[in-house]
Amino acid sequence: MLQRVITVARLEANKRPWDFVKVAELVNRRTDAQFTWIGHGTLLKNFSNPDKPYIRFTGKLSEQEKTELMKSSAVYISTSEMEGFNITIGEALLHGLIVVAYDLPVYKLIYEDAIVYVPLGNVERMADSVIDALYHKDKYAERVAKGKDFVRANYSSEAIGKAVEDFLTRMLSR
Amino acid sequence: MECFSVLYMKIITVTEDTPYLAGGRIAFLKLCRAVALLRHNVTIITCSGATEGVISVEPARIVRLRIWQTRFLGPAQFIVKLFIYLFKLSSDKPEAIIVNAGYAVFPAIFAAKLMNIKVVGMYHDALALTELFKYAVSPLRKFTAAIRWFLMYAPLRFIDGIVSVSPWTAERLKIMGVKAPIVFVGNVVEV
Repeated sequence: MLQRVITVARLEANKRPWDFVKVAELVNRRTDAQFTWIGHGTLLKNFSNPDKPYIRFTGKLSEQEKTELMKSSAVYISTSEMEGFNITIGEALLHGLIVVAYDLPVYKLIYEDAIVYVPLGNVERMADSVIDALYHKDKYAERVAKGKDFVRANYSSEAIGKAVEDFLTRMLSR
Repeated sequence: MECFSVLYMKIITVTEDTPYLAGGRIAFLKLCRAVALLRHNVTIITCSGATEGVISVEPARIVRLRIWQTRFLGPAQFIVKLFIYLFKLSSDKPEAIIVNAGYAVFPAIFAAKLMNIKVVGMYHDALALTELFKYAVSPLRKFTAAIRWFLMYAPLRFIDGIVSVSPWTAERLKIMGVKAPIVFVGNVVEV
């Protein structure tokens, strides 16, 4: 079965969709993999009909459709050059996907070692990492499992709700 | 020190919405839901936009102010409608307002100060105007970016507290001169 590489992001310049296309091309020169980008944005018209059959830009999907595609993917990539948090990386980890992303300082503070980091803008290194992840999943199993546990422990609804509640209570007592 | 004794708080939360789904807005709605799940009375005030029907916020309540989905006029309409809505709350005022970073920050702070209640901002990033300009591909977008930057960051000195989604954002906000207490909480991640 054809393996899928996925990303979920708004189609805007800071997410570097051109890098996503380049990585898809580089990977598909060496192996077959379907690349799917979920998300709407002002650049969608530039990417709505890519001439490569292995690249698909879906536009906006329902949460259920997004979840189905994530669950049936092998690798999640992020070509974004600017992020505050990137929730979809956390979602990918919860789905058990190997995550390959550009090395943004914020990720190390948020997701620690759960991500396979690639220097910003280096599409060749990202393609290499994606191929390695597609063909050596066992090598990444421990990293993904730890990432999943880390996200569950730190970013659950209960943990975030309590942190906000504590902060508000302290502020209102001042 | 006065001790705050209310077990369950009444909280108004405010966020803009746009025709495009954005992680920051989804994160904010999930945060509101997380607080409401702790039995606080949370009402989210937003406008028509892409998150409609996408995220379940229950047990929080959501009020969507209808606006035109156009640049400039849509946000302007939301700011006016939001201010009127918040002003009407002054007879039954909440304990606090939590506002998502965006063009709703300015009216939310203004309304909170009028009601004499605390206002907390949720910030996903802290960008210089030059960084926002980098992604604005036309003069019109640069103009929009400048207005957005002003509405998001200029009122920071009047805010009572900040919920930051990352330590990186918290540090950048301190560098920008924010004196209010900042807490890093992250975002709700669930599938």
